[in-house]
Amino acid sequence: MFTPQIIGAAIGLFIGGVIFWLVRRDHMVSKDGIRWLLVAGLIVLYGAFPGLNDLLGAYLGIGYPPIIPVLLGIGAVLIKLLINDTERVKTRVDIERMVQRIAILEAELEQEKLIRNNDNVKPLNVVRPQVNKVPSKAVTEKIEPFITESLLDDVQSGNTKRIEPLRPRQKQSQGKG
Amino acid sequence: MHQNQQSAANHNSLPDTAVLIVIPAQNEAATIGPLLADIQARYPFDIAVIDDCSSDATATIARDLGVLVLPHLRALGAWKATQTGMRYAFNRGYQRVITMDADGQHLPAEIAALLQTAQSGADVVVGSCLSRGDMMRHIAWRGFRAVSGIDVQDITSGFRLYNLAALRGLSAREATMLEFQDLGVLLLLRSLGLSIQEVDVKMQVRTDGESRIFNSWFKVLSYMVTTALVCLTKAVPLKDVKYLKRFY
Repeated sequence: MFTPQIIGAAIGLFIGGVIFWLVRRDHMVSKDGIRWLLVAGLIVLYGAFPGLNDLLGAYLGIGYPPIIPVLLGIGAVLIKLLINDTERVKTRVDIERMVQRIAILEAELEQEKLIRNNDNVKPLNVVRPQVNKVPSKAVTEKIEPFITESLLDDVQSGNTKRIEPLRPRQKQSQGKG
Repeated sequence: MHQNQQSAANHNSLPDTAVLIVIPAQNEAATIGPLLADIQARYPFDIAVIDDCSSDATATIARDLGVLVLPHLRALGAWKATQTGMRYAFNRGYQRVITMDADGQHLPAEIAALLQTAQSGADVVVGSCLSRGDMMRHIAWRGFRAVSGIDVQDITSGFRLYNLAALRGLSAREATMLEFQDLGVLLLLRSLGLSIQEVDVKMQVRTDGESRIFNSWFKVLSYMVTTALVCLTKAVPLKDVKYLKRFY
């Protein structure tokens, strides 16, 4: 094996090692890591066996085979940029909607505070949006451990004014030993 | 009885939840006070000022007049500030939203005309003033109308009335991706199958004489190219289901 081949393969292995380290130290998501490891693997393959490139060039009818990896690289970079752009837009929209929601919540808090501190303040519209009275399965699963038996009794008897502190329901002892 | 007084009298019979007036504002301390006072004197409706990260006393002036202020912690631009108001209105159960500029261009007296037109059953009413804008702008509007197929003369007017169905659609995530309250919003409304009606209104010339959005040729060019792209990509109406599924 010639020196250029060894260098090419070494670059690929080095990139692979860096990717591995990035995933290991949580600097990169494993899904992205796999994609990058694939790229590193291709570099190792091309570096160690440059003849593959000539074979591919002859098969595709390309007169200057070394341009193939360059074209592939540019194509991959463009696709990656496109994906990054769409991801960036999603993040931007998320942030903007959060800014909007914070503004709404802040205004509502301000209103509540004003109403609480001053009876003369005319409240703005206090109509609450209609909520689904039957909780979804996901919600039920989440709150289920906090439902105490006394709370259930209250609900059944219609006496729901008493407020019980929420605490996890005690698991029944399994009778060890 | 004067027509405006008659309208105000009619509006007094409306419930408090009927209308929210949404005013996006950024550094409008010079004009916001008189505008809010004028609206309060004429109509019994709630007002929400969306403070788009102003560095002057815009929010303080509005609060001192007893107006609700929704403060953005980062400047998002006029359309997204308007959308904040719409989302608030939709959450709180308001039936209609009227949007207007804080620079005094839109006259409170003309709100009556929007409300009157809405009685015909239109989902959206656009307050139209074709006497503003130079010849170039009118040529551009005509071009955009031709490409998009939108039958609204004043596509850039921010003086509009939206009903509950329109509020629901415009509170959606897709609407946050729009940059201006103009053609993109109208195209989205068309995709939702909502009806748009126009009414001629008077508008005042800006007191500071300069548009906040189009204060340089580069911004005008950027706006034209962006709007042209929106026109072309959305010339064929989208399916409304997409918006309703991704709502909120």
